[in-house]
Amino acid sequence: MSSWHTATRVILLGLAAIFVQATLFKALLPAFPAPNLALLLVIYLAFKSSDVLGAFLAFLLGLEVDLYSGVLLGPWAGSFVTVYSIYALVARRLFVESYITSTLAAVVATCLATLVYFLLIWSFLPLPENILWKLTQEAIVTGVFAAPFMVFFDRLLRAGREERKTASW
Amino acid sequence: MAVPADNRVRVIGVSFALLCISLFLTEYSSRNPALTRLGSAAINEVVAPLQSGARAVSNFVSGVWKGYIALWGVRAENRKLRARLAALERENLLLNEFKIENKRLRELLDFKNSVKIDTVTADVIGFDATNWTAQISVNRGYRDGLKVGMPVVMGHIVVGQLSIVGPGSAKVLLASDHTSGIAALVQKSRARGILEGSGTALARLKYVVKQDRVRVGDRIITSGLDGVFPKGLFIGTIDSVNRDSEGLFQDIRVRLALNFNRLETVMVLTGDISRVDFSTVLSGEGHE
Repeated sequence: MSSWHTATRVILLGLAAIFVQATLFKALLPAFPAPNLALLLVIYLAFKSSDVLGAFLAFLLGLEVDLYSGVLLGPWAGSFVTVYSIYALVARRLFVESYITSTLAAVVATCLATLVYFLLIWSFLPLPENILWKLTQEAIVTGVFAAPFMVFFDRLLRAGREERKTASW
Repeated sequence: MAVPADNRVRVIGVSFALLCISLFLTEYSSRNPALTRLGSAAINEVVAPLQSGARAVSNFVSGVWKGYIALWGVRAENRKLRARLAALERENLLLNEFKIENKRLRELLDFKNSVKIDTVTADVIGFDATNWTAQISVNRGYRDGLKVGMPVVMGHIVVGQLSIVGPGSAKVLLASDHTSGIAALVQKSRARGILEGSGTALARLKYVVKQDRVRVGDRIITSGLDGVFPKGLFIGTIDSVNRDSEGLFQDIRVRLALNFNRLETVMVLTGDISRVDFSTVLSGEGHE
């Protein structure tokens, strides 16, 4: 399977993640913040591929979130790329299959992504209130859902990744 | 996975370049919102049919959830009775749903009859993907006569305004969003200000001078001066007032009348808002 096929899969999976977090989670659990599933996909890519294509895919996933929100084009793309590059660098030092690692990685990534997002929009938009409280809630919820979704992403994307590896030989 | 050193350098280099592109895009889109709107309308058109379907499914799931969870204790006592009760409960649930829907539609109909303005009713099909923007998606678009900037209400209460409009779906920027600003009026004292969202249920009423007499519990309505919302729509009530803050103005917090998480149906005012004044028809009731 070519890189294009993998990229297409990731893009479509990103759209599905946005759809799930924007519709199902918020409709069924309106009182809680939705987990950032698109960000979990970025973490998964950073842990599993750690290459240039992954950086582009992280950028495109962020762009999808930006486009869906329709506020500004670019801040989530920049924030996802930052998370990707940092996680790609530390990926080899972590046992990423561990439940605790993926949970902690998701919590830290949520904080990091949000920080970069606000840094990018700072000069263009006013910032919301209670950032710390909302961020804590979102980080915990994303952390809770991290492990099962990592397994889910792995099932969906592993086939493509393995074929890519074989093709590169 | 082991990452070779040269690959690491490439990943960092490409990521840095993409971050710079993101910054450029952010700056560019802040000056050219049409670009973002166009892209957003396109992606929302793709997601909207799925959202409509998912909304129906989630309504069903939540109905089943509500109907059955209450019956677990009863099952332990009598399985037969529980089955009968479940059937009745389902029926009751359905009737309650009809009742609630009937009430909601009656309110919208009353509203429609009470003011002479063209409106389009829309169902809420989705929310924002991130937790940092207060927006909802609705299942109506420019094919139904919707345009960017049109006010969205629920009964006589402000919901927000249309920020992105596609052919068959649209996004509503809620009054609670931190980028939202509405020209407002304290109904009793007639003090004017700008209501700014904060991303929470409490918005901030800005630019009300300290000499103006405002009290906790006072009702806030739209002033109509922004040219977006007609005059007299209910926004919320004053939650707290701080006159000790620095500067010329009071620090006023307003509790918004609507719980946006529970919105199911909204109404878009598509007619000429300049000829309408809701002050004359305002019922004065807040909704939960």
